Amino acid sequence: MAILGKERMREWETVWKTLDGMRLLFSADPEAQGLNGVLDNIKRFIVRQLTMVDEGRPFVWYNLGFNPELVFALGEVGNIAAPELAAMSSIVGDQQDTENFIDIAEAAGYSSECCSADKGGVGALIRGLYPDPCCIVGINTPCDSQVSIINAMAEQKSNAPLFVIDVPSYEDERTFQHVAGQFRELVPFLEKHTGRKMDWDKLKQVCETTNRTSEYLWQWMEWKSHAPTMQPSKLCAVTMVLMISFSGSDIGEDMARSLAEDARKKVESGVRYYDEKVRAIWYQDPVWWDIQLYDWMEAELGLSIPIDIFGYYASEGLIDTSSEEAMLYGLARRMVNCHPMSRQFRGTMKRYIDDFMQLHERFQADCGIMAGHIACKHSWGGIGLFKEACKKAGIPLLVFEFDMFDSRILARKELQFEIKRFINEIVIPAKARKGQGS
Amino acid sequence: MAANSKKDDLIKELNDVLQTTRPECAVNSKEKVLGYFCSYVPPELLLAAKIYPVRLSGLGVNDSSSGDAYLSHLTCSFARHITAGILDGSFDYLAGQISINTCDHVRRANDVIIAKSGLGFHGFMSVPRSFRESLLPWYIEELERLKSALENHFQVKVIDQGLKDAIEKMNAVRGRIKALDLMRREDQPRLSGSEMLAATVAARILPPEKFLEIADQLIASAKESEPIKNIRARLLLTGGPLDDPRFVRTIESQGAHIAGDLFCFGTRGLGMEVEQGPKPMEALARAYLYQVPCARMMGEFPTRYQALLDLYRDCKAQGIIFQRIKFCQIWSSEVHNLRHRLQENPVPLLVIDREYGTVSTGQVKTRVQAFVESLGR
Repeated sequence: MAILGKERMREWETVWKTLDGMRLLFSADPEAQGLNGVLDNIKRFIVRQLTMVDEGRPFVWYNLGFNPELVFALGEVGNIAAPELAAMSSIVGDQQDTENFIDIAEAAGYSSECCSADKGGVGALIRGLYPDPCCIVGINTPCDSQVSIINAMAEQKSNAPLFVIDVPSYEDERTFQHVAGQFRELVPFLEKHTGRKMDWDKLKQVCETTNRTSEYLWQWMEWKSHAPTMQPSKLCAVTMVLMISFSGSDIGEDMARSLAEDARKKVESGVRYYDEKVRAIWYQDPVWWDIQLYDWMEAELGLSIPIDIFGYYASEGLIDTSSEEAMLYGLARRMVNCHPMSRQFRGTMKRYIDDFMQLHERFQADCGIMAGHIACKHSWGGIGLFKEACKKAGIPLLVFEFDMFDSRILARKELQFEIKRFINEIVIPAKARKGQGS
Repeated sequence: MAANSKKDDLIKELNDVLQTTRPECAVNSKEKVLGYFCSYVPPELLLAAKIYPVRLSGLGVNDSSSGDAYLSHLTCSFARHITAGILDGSFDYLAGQISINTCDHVRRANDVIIAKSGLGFHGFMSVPRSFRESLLPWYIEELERLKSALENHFQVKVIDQGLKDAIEKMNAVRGRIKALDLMRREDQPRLSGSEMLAATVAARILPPEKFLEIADQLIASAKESEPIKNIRARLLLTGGPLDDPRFVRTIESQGAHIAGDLFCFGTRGLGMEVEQGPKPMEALARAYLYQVPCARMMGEFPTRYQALLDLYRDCKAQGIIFQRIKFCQIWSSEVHNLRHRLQENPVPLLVIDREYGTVSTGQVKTRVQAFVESLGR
């Protein structure tokens, strides 16, 4: 199969073919309009990336906690988030490819303890599936696994210079300024290694695109907070993907707009595709190796997920585009305080728990589901405090171990068993008791 | 031989200190004692505040249940043991603790300790994860903030001269560690790797004056003692936190001699001399930030690898053992990176994942025995 007239590595072609297939399958499905917007934009992104590869453009690699606005403002520079292909293979490709990447990384000595997103990234780069980087940007958010993948990327591509962004573990003004200061240093680094000059007018446009994207994401969350939730739960986690790869681009804006418009239309039309009985805040990682699980939860259990931690986009204000410094500050603040996971994982457990409580209230949830991705040590390390907080607030909480990209850790049937038992035996009876009480 | 007996007594004294992680002399004199988590916390700052610094270790904690309950079984057992020790009162002499952003496990242990322990003081520093010079001022600022917090809480004043005196003391400790390290590197070593580890861990628990007293006696008695016999292979030990001489003893029971080490509780964290100068806080920040880096530092593997190669050569080592506590992520790309480098520069490498507090004697013995045999010894 040829993409843009050229034969590509098989894994890329599999993603492309699956995207085509899904798009064809869902084209006339009114329930899937939001999903179609996501699929179309992922495809646009792949076209853009491969075009840049064919044109010999420079590529900047980075890890999960970074947003690409500064790269986009350089013009005609490609961006690769290391786990990109592993994630796409899992969500819109062949899950087996993702698991193969994981196995390749582990066979090369990369520890099984690390996040499967990062193992998948390391496996894909060892397989040679990405264009070589002209430089690497490494950031220590959202978690320790990022430190590890940056060290592995820097080793595998030791001829590519690395710039480290050090994000402190605080949530204050001093931290935002500190990160903004590092962005100021990053600009000449990127200029030097990409051979492009930073275009500050272009950055202004990029930031304005980001601002419009932010507004769409806030609207999207507002529509999703309506009960019953009308948009399929499987779209919950898209914010995370958007921010890592598309933030500041027309692709990201279009994706956010399609999500918001779809959510609005669904609420306004009032057409429901399933009978919502229970609403849960899905806290931690989505089940990306089988997004049909969300369909099962809705159809079988009447369980909807109005929002999850990957989808939540905090209201931190828009980027001020009045000056270079204001833009760098705005980008820094957004990356530290809005980026899903980086917001909750790099600081204290207080932020993690407070965000959950706010989401639970705002999205009118009946319970929480802590989908414990086994590599998320920051969350597992706070599980005792989180459980105590939920107990104190009277919120039923399901906690289980699984892996977001590796189906071999907890199988679908076991996952279904845990969720079904929790909803039917704990949450629905508790909700009924609450109803009787009131 | 009398010197051997004296040396054994001193090593026992050091090992006894490890088992309780209690600086008796400080506790008895009613001095304030603060525990700290990481090799990026300079004990000099505490000494200058007339507070005894103790690097936290869980060796005296046999039951990690309360730590497990809060931190789950999926986090590092080192952090869980220390957390349990603090929650259960094993460290009842502590006036407080200091954590940094070493890793997610330590950060969460800090959250739990703050929420659930009765300790009166909790310090925290966010230490940069890169050598880039422009990040040094942040570290200095973090040290200044910690200093202010200590001054406010304990009603003390940290002055530059106090810092300089503390630097001098700790440099003296480093000097003794270096002297002991050279003795265990000798062709016919008089100090084993496990004895060396007992010394380096105790150096972080005992008040400097007490450690210097014991170290001087140890150096003198080791000089007179018989060299270690029946060494089959000289090895280098590296990796994540390791504070348990029993683990090293198990390795050495198979005829291996740990001729050098590169980990934070070993000589790495005491490897750098802090320069004396007009700006002691900056000197501390510089020395600690630019020490041979822990894997928490990003993109600094080449520096650590070069230090490892230099040590390998200096110790005349014949192989490397890399050890890591299970679930540790910051050290989890190290084997990948080492293997990548060692493709061009083959060095025998044994990788051991372990649980803290359990030596797993049989398994470790079997693996080390096979490794030593694979070296043709």
